[in-house]
Amino acid sequence: MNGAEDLATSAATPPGEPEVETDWLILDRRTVLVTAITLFAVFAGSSVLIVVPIWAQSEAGPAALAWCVGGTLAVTIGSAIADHLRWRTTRYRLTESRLEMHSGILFKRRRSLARERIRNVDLTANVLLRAFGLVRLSIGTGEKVSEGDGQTIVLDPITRAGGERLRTDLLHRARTDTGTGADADSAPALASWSPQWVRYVPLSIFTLLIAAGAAGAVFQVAEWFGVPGLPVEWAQTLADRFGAWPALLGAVVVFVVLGAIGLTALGLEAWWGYRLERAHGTLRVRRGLLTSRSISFDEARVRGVDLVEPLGIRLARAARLDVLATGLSADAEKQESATLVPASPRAVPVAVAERLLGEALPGLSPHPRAARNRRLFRAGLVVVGLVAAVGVLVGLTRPTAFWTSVMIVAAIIGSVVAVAVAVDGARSLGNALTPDHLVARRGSIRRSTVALSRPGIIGWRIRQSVFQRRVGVLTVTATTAASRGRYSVVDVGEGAGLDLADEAVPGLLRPFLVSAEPMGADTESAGTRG
Amino acid sequence: MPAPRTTGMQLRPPRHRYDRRVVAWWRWSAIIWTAVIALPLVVLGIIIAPARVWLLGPAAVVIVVGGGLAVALPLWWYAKHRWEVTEHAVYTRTGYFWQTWRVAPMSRIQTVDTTRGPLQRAFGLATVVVTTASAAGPVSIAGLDDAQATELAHELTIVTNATPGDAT
Repeated sequence: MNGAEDLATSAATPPGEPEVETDWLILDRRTVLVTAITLFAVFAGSSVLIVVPIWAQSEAGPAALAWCVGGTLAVTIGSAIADHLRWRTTRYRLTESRLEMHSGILFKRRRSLARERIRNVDLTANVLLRAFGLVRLSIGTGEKVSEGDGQTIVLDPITRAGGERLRTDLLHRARTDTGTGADADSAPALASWSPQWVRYVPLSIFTLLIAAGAAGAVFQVAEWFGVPGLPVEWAQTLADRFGAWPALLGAVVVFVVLGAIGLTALGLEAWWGYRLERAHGTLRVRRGLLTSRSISFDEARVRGVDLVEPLGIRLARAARLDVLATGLSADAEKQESATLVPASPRAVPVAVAERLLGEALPGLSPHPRAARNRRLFRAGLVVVGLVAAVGVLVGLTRPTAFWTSVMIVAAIIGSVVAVAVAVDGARSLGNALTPDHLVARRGSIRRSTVALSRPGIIGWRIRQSVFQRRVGVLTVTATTAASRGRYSVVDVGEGAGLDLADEAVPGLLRPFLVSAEPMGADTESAGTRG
Repeated sequence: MPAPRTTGMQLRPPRHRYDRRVVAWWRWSAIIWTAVIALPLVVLGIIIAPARVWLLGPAAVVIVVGGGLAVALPLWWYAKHRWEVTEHAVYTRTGYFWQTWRVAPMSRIQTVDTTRGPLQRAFGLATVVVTTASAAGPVSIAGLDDAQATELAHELTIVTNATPGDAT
């Protein structure tokens, strides 16, 4: 069998179609083709970037071309052979009780997951895999194992149909209420993509980061082409022509617009076709324009939700919703794999949150004035620091009047932002108890409203710094097995915070509480000090 | 608008103090850390004459601050560090500048370990480390008599093994 005819035959009868459940199955053979094409594309692309400048600038062009073509072919063939060996040595099977995989060319690796412990089955397929009708399946128990990833089996790739069926078999087991067939597209959607949501994508701090990155890239490219001074000359020319301030502001605007365009493209790719489904005790997020992604959460592992409102998105009255689930690492938040609803008009994530929680998000009790004063005090320190920094910089470097005014303007903007964030952060603080959840809100630049399932609380950490003690507030942290592992009610009044914890998990804190006698604490610590 | 519904409760200190030897252990730890930072500075200061002021000055600051902490901090800590194990929970209080109370219910405890550092062993002390499924870090009682720690860990293991469920 050579590669070309394999394409035709395996499309007709894809391997990975089980007749009997306990047969050993193999991955789809076309993985070799996919790997070869991917590496060819990557290396051919970078070859162009290498050869073109050399060709343009020196006589060494043809030699460089020959090296690059040779290298690309060698890597392509080598990787195809390696992937073929991997394909030949990988076997998996689904038995009554376990999912097993044997793999490895030199080092044989055997993995086996108990079926009743499997919690995550995620499908991803990039453009190429999709073109071949393939999918990469990642199957995990959702347990945090620090050493390696022994609790995950990755089938890369199998046919999409086979992947969907395996997902259904693995996640819907023991829920005999419904047949496993034909629910892939008929599950009711809790939320689905609206093209208008794309306007929230660029309202993120990442727009500014990409803008800064693009500005840096200009210098990098100039250096590659041997003219590192060119961007500075351009800047000088622009400044001479339009004046320093218009040139600076214009450059900022241009790069921010570039950043917004870049981020919007990334956001569109990640979230196009988004759909959140709930079926058979499983939450499933499907999304992706080029790379399709399907991420599932076992509802038995869900411990609550986090309504996240980063500043830019909040100003546009939008929010996103993350899930709190056991076995989900804190990194999942950064990779967006914990996100149930992307940035969208606030009513959408709130409605989904209320459906999932089974109750309305309550109004929150505010925190005492001391919490606000603490934030204002910290903002004051920032202002003093900024003023001192500008003073020192101007004193030491004696810059031109223009740069002095740039620094002063930056310090003023920084100070205003610091105070605004302090006031807004204090206004964000709040907490409440519902029949099933502990709700805590905090943050200004990233405001987060966490609703944590009360049975999901597996302990308390209560912390009070000397400064907090003086003004009668403390920080109550609920520890949990889900996501970040701890969620805090920050700077809550002493009595209110302890009452909250006591009520949230009945009986846990009560044995350690006594009625306050104002002098009690002091005499105790004074008595024991000597 | 201060908290409208407070019942005026506050946390009582856990019942037991740490072993008295913990003061000496903390003190020696502080002394050793101070020495580790200050000694290289002093040695270099003696060898490199031109930079003497810049090396011995910081060394003096480190010695004064470290020495001060070695004298006072263990006493403050000893006054504040407490622990208690009830039928239902492990309860600790630690820290002076950032005082921290931890409560871990028996039903959520996953593992119970004892650890002994070299210096700790010299003072006949041990740490009992109680982990739950949370990423918030374990609850540790870092200053028990060696034998007492072993016994406590044993008891905790029996109690937690008797509790069903996966503690999440």
